[in-house]
Amino acid sequence: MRIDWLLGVVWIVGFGAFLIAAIWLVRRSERRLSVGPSDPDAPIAPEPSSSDAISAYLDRVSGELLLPAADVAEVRAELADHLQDSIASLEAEGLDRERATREALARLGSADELGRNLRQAHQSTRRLLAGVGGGVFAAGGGFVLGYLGGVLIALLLAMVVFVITSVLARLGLPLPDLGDHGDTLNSVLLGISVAAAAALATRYAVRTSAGLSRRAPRSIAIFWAAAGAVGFGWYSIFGMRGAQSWPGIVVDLCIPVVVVAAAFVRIERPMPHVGRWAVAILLVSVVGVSVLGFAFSAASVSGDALPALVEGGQANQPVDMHFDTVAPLAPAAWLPSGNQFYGGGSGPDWDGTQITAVVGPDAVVPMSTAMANWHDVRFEAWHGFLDNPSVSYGIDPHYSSPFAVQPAAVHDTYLDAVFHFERMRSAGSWWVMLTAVGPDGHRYRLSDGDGGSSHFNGSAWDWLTAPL
Amino acid sequence: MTTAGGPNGGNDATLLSRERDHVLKTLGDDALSGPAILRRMIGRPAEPGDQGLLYPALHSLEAGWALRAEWATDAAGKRRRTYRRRRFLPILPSRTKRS
Repeated sequence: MRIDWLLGVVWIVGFGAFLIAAIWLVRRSERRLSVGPSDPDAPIAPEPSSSDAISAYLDRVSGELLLPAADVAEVRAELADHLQDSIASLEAEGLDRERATREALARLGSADELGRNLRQAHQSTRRLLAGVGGGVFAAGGGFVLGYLGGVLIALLLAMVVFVITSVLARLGLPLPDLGDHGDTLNSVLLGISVAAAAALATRYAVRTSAGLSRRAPRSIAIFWAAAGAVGFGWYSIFGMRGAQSWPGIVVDLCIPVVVVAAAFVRIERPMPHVGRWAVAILLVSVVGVSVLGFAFSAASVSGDALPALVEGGQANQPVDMHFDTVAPLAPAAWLPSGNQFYGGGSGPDWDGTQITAVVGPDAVVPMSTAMANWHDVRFEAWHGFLDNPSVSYGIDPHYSSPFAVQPAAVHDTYLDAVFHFERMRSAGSWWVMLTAVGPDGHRYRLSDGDGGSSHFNGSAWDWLTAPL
Repeated sequence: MTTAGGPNGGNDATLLSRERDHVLKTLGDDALSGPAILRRMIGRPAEPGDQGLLYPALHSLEAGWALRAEWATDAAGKRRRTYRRRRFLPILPSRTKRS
């Protein structure tokens, strides 16, 4: 086992720096979005005791601004200060208070026009670009943080489910056996994690880009909601691969809705911020998970290896494997040199599971010769018992027909076919047999086949369009 | 002085651009509030709407990184938003003037 520690350290430091930068950017941008007495960064001068005319004027200006709350408060305070100064000057010139106020307001011009001009001045193209870039960056950080948070939530849910099922089992209540090796739970937990990540990413993006581009969060939320619903919706339906189940599919399909809700619901309100301890715990988690990931990746064993190959014609099977359920064994006279077809090998392919068959190991016969007596040669996939070999082994006799059939492709020295068990919702344990129609017109099995176990591994779309 | 906005967008943009130049020229190297800048603008006619472009010009200059704005307390103890030209290089000693 060899671990590239330099790469690991660079990766961990870079990742941590990215998260800290994203959190810093969000917090900094958010300062523009809210103003309150507890906000130390709000540089707002107190609005002077204004007359009704001044208040009405400022209200009309504010109505046209459509800026974040801090900017609106700043503009109001600045204009109020300006008007106060202007009124004082006019009063010094001899005007009474009422005329001075009217004159001061008149010199600023139309409130609506001033508001629009100020809005255009704030919402420059440069700030819009900064908002888009900052929003994308913050969304990246939010996605990672949300995913980690979602994993924690999912683990808590898993623990709750475990406790409930344990209690029910102790009470002797019958529990439904999903029989899917945890695929349902895994797919639901993955969906919850991604939903949390998408929600936080969208929220980070809206608030950051609103603060940087000086736009009201709700006016910008619609763009991020649309982009997030399309982007995360695409990812949840087409891009997120792994174990699937119907409950998991429901969670996946809810992700676009979650994104839209995250973009709009209480978007003006500040988010609960990640405190120092949370950052510390997060960094420790990232470091720990990264180290474990590197350690395990160095020593990982690939794949859903097929556990057993049954060699054709061998009599070391202690139990009845119900091979005759498929078809009777081919008469030796019709087989090349009397050899049964070797069960062949199978291996998980990147794009399916390849099943091969060759003529017995002691007889190297060209496949064209071997197949002289046979036609309609095909591989048949039957449900099997491989999941629990101690109980039974071989073909599950409860089924009277194969669940998948592939014609054998004839090569120079072997036959093969590719099965996509990982795209079938309920492949589970399987056993693949080579069968063909003999000279008498009956179908026989040419080998005792090969068994394995597969779980669905694909996207939500693959699941929805998978053969039953 | 007319105000920006309205149907004559090109002319408004020109007016705003002219107001920005005027503000920068008036501001010099000092830190001034809006009313103080206005007092410095010599020859400005006092008529309705004549101050309508001052704050849009100041805020657009700030958005364009030409000015830096901050809330500062003046001699009378009042907090005012003051503007100063943003400089990316230090001012040479020979050009420093006593304010």
